[in-house]
Amino acid sequence: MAHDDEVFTPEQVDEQIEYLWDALHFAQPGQRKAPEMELIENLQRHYQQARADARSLDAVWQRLAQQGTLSQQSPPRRTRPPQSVSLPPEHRRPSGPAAPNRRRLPQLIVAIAAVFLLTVLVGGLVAGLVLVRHQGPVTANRPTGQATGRPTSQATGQATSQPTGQPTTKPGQTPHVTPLPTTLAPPVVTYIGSDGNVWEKSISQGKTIQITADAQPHGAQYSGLAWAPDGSMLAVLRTAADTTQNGAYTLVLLPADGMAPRFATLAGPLDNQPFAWSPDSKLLAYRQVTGQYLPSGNDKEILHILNAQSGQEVKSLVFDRGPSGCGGGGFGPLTSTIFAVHHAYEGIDTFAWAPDQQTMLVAYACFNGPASQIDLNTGATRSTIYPKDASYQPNGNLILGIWGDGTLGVVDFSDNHVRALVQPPPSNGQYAVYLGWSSWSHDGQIIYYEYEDGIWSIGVDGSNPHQVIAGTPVDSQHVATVQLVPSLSPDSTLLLYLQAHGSSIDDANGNPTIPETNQWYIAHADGSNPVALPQGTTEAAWQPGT
Amino acid sequence: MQRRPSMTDLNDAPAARLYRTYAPTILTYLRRRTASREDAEDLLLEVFLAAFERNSLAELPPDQQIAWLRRVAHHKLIDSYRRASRRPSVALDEIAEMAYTDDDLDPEAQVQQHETLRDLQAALRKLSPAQQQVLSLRFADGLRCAEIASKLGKQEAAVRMLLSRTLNLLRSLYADR
Repeated sequence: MAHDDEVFTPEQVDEQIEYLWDALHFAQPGQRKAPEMELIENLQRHYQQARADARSLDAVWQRLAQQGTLSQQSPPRRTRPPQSVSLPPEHRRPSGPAAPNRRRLPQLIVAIAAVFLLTVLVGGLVAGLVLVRHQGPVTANRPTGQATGRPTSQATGQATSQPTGQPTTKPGQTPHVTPLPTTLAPPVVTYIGSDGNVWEKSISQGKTIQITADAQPHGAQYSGLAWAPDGSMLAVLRTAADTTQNGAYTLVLLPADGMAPRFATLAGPLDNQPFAWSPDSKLLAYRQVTGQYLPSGNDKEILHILNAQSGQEVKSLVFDRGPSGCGGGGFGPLTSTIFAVHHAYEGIDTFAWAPDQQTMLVAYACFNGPASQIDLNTGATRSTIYPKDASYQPNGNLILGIWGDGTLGVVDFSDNHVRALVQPPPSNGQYAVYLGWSSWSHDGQIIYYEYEDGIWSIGVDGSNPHQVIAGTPVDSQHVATVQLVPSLSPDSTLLLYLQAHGSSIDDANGNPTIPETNQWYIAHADGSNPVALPQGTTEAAWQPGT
Repeated sequence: MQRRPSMTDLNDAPAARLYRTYAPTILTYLRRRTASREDAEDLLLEVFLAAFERNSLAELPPDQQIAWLRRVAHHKLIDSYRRASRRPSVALDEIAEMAYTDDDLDPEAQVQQHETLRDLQAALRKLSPAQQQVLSLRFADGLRCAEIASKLGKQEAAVRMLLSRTLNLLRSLYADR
């Protein structure tokens, strides 16, 4: 005779376990479960997870071993297994005829099949109703209604090489992009809001207009705002929710004159700072991360150059991205945020066209050293003395950037004469920002840069260095407020920047010890009267010429 | 130029010991912050490649070793988020997992479930090796008592007794709530 608290008996323990599996399957949501039922449920969860973890650890160890023997081969970066309606083994009941998951499998299959059918039906309907204007073998899908002036545009697919009427996207995957407004008074700032969509705001009018509408949490997202230098076109990257699928990375081109947006499917994923415009605003470049190695063992990347009008690829070049395996370092969470803002890992990214459009500067390796220069005609890559975060002076011969020792300076690319402008502050542990991003005024005569947690400016000749906006150094609680990525408005009256506040240390689990906050501001050029952009804004950029 | 680990490195006791000791913790950390198990595995690979390239890591005290690995894992995560344009994908197997685990779970219930699972794991660690082995064979491998007995070379009745006693012991965790 079993005691009241002995639910499981030696004679029937197998059957009792299996009965509870069945009961779990039929349990109603929210239903209070008996202790034994809860126990069996959690035991099953625990062992499923433990088995899956053991398989993962074994698989990674094998890959590490393979990496060691095949050091000159492609890295064993694993791709996701083909998407299937079958549950992986760890989701199945170990054994027995009455597994609680057993009936969930057909339910899941039916549910996924229903979603798939709905996708096909809706996709076909959409494709049948809208006119897809095919623009060539690569990309550049011109949305519906383009001929009628400035319609609301909804792209009908990303893989435009497909014939009209054969949808290649599923509901929810379709970009929903409206043309840029032409009625906003300058200066205008373009930003990506907390919802992940692109917005435009006229500072003088206080008027805000939404440009995209299909970004969702855990869904499609927009990033990489990049205005053409002449202000004629905005480029932005749209990343689909599932980046393993073809066509997950889409270039959205938005003409500033209010014409319909254009779309181009990109080879992805993209490296860091997504896009770089050519100085004449006619070409757009991006770097594709291949996950492969060159024979030298260095990372292989592909530079793609697109025609900004058609979205068609003009040229692609394989280039040497340098050795991988930076290995991280002793950086706190606030610094990690700062790195993300800077498109940096252990330094700042570089991706810039030379004024003559014959070469480009790109970051090399972990960005610790100088930038590399790619000859766009031959594809040859050579090392340079040019700094990381290199940017060319508007209408000048200088390259601005920061060298590995933290020195901000310029180099005249006509004779490679280097001139230091700002030396890094002494390393006293109180300085949160030690990367030092910098930018030019539009006339190329003033430089705005990060220094001692705040924003400073200096003349291109080294004159009049002064603080524009102060930050707050790391305090005894390891908390700092830093001002980042300054950018002067086209009319030179306003300054756009990001304020990051948080801890420079993390806890044992790698989480910040206090919540981090990031807030974009627009202040007068002298730093006065800062006004916040909407909370949760992730990127912001001035529209040139406004 | 940074060096990749050779096979000799990987078979070295320090490297293997480092992996055995810390990889489970780092995997758990990564798995909870990535969209799929495959992503977590990729990042785990990167973390330990970096670890093997840092020869001085093995000379550090254990607390500094795990701190370093956690930091690198953190930065690899940041890097992966940025490469995915801040938005990781959700794999179908993850959806299947959610379909299985989250039927009736609001955030509060999820927290509660997490706590009960943690309590169970703590209780499992206190069991004898024999008890842990039988539970694992029953719930991880799906063997019935007769099969477990055959595998372990024990009497079926003894296995039944051990399993039922162990389950009753663990059940008290939930009955006492």
